[in-house]
Amino acid sequence: MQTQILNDEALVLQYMNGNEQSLEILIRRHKSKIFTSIFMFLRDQYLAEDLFQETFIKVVRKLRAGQYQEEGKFLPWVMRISHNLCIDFYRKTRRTPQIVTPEGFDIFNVLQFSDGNPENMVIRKQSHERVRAMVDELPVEQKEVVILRHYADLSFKEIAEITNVSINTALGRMRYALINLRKMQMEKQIAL
Amino acid sequence: MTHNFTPNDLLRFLYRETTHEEDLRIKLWISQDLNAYDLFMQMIHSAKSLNFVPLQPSETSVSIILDYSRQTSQAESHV
Repeated sequence: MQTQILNDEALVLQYMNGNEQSLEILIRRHKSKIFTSIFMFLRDQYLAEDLFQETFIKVVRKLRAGQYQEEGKFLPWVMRISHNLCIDFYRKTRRTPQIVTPEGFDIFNVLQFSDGNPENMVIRKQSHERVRAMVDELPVEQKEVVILRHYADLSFKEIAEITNVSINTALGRMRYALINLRKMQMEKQIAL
Repeated sequence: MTHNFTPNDLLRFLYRETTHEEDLRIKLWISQDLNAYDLFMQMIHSAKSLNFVPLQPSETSVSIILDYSRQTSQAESHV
């Protein structure tokens, strides 16, 4: 089908002109990155489903209202919306992320994205919980950058824009996050 | 040989945000500077530890969004 090879901007334009199928393609193209990022922020499957829906309902409203003016940056634009919803949620519920402690997690394995080997699926499901627990222990500023860079696949420049910091600050936060993750691994005496 | 790169540049290199020219120079730096090599390896190990199979929202969530879009589109077209 022709629309399946269109880029995001063309799909956005088609959707704004009334093509409902374009929205479905956009959602299916980006749903994993967006959902994984929301889930890593919230640590709750059901809440993540709710905020995923809320994110795209806002996307629909904004597109209809002509409030999309970020050519070539559909994913970062959606991520900004979902990120703001996550931050609002934190503020409302006071779910402040924890500060780093050496307890409560265990690194299992080095895993790769998009590796479809079914033999490792059980291991991955177990590891997923451990990775999430580890990310949760990072200071909130570092956790934010890790999620947006590693799971949402935004560039450091895009992350800097979303979080209102300089690129060097975003890079520095990511660097300290990786250092802290390494410390956690060392404290657990786990060699990767 | 003097290099003007920083740890932040290694991080950009790790996440493939450097230019081709920067790639070549950073690779040279890593191959010649043991500290840069060690730092880069630590970054790789930490970044790999974050990997897991990507998650997916439920089909119900996708359907709810698409239904909302269709319904509001129809409602607007009737106005």
